[in-house]
Amino acid sequence: MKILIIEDEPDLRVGIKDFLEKESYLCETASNFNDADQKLAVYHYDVALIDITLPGGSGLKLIEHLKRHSTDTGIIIISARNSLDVKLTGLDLGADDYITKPFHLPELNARVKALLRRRKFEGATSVIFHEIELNPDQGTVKVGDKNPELTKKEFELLLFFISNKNRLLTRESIAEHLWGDNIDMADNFYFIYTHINNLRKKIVKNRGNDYIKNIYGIGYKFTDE
Amino acid sequence: MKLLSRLTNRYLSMSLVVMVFSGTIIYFSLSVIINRQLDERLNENLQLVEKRLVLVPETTFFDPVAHVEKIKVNTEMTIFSDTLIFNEREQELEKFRQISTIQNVAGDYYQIVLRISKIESEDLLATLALVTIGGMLLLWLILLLVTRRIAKSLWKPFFTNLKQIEQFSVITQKEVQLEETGISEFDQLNESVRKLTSKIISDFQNQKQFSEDVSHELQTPLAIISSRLESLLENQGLEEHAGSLNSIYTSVRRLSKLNNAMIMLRKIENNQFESEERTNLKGVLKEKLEEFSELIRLKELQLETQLTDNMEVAIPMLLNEILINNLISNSINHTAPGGKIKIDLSGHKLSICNTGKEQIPEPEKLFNRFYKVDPASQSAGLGLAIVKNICDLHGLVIHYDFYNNLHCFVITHNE
Repeated sequence: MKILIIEDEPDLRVGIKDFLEKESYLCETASNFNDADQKLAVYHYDVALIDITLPGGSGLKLIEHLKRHSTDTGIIIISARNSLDVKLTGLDLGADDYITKPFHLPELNARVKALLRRRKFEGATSVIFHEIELNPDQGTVKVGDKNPELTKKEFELLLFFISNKNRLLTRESIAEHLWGDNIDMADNFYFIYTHINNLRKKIVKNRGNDYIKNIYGIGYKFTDE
Repeated sequence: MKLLSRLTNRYLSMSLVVMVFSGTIIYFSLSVIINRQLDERLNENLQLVEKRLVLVPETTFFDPVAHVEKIKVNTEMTIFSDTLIFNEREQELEKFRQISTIQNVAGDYYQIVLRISKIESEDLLATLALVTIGGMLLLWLILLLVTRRIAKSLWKPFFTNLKQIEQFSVITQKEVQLEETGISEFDQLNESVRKLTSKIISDFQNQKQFSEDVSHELQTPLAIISSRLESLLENQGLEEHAGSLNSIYTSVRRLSKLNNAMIMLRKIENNQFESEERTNLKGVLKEKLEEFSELIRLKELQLETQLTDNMEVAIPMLLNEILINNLISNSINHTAPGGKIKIDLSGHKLSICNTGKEQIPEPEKLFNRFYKVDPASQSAGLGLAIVKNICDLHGLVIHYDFYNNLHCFVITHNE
């Protein structure tokens, strides 16, 4: 899978690149409008992460160019502007998703995975981790040959875990993934704790392995190591 | 009190004083003139009487008009005075001017008293006074009406401009359109107002731009810090520093959230979500309650909802969602496990209540930015400020109440 990261901020660009490369994606980067425009015209990418404010031009223009000649490249807008009109314009132009800075890298990763899933396999595929199989479109779960009943949030949590397997997920990133960043919940961590405990119990009860490791005080890791 | 009525009142009282004063002066000076004339006539009459007495010493005169008596005094003296004499025919006292004099006429001393009725002159005086006062009153009335009429037309552009100024809002950023009055004082005022408002607008824009720039400039470094920290946290070699890294990370996330909330607040204040969209609360409530249902269950809260009617509001969808989101999450946050949340929606009123034992110490500050009931709370204290802002800018009123151990937020339309 080939990803083009278009971001003018060097630190952020490298951060995203490092993170996604660990997920064994092939990553290329562009730091300005012209560079990005050329790369998009010459090569084919599965996903393009496009920052809206770029030196040399607007990221929205890149989306227009891209849509003109390549329809199967997935587009995720990265924007510092938490503004509705940029979001709407971007999505109107054909972007698939929108993420606002500052975001958590696991969140971006989950979005990329979800996008690839939707693009490449027309939504028919499942997410599999050993004995656990999730179907995001139908919202069904299989643990071995059993079908545990998961609540909506538990399902989202499990999908987020599997999308970011073997990676540390901080409680903050889990909270934002589950409830969005508009939420100002004082009890976030308590809720995450309960959700994870319930999820764990349901998987173990259905003879699944407990892959959720507690990283004390920081967050959790979904791993078979 | 209006300037016009104050002016009229002053004018009225001043003219009253002037009228009383000038009336008194006119009255007295007229009386003096009349007396002097009467005295002159009396003197002429006296000379006639004296001539008559020289010719015919025993002439009889008629009381009360003339009274002549021979007396044995040998000093001459003359006194003019007013006197009252009873008129038998009219059965009333009448005023007379009299001259009482002792004169030596052909060697004999006579006391001569001559009188002239003052009735005519009194009448004249009264008529004169009446005419004067009446004239003055009329003049005064006309002046009053004319000034009022003139004042109204003169002040009209002032009031039009005043209305314009009242409608000025720094949020809409519209310059005030002031009418030229042609009156230099008003035009001067207009000029000052124009300068003032354009200064306010530009200051406000600068301020806004500045805080927007600050927030946006903060976003990128914050994003870099937190993404770098996330990868550091994953680094197996740094486990002994995990605690410190995590506390830095948590603080950075708090900072970003705060920054985001401030951007949101500013956008709402700047009406950047402005649209003609009308949305309803019921749908959003249902949706949000569905989203929160797991949290409500996890915290073992009882939820009582009564969504009878739909309440339509002039709020864009995005803000509507934030409004309901913040109110519900606020309730969930501040209800102890096992407590109750009550949501009632009728056509014109939404109330979201949650159980709680204690009253909030300073309820009037509840909607202030950064106000936190519990200072140790991790929350930024902007949620309810955002709610209040949304309501204020979209024709809704929100108030907080505490009764029967319920904290209630009630939203109604602003009538």
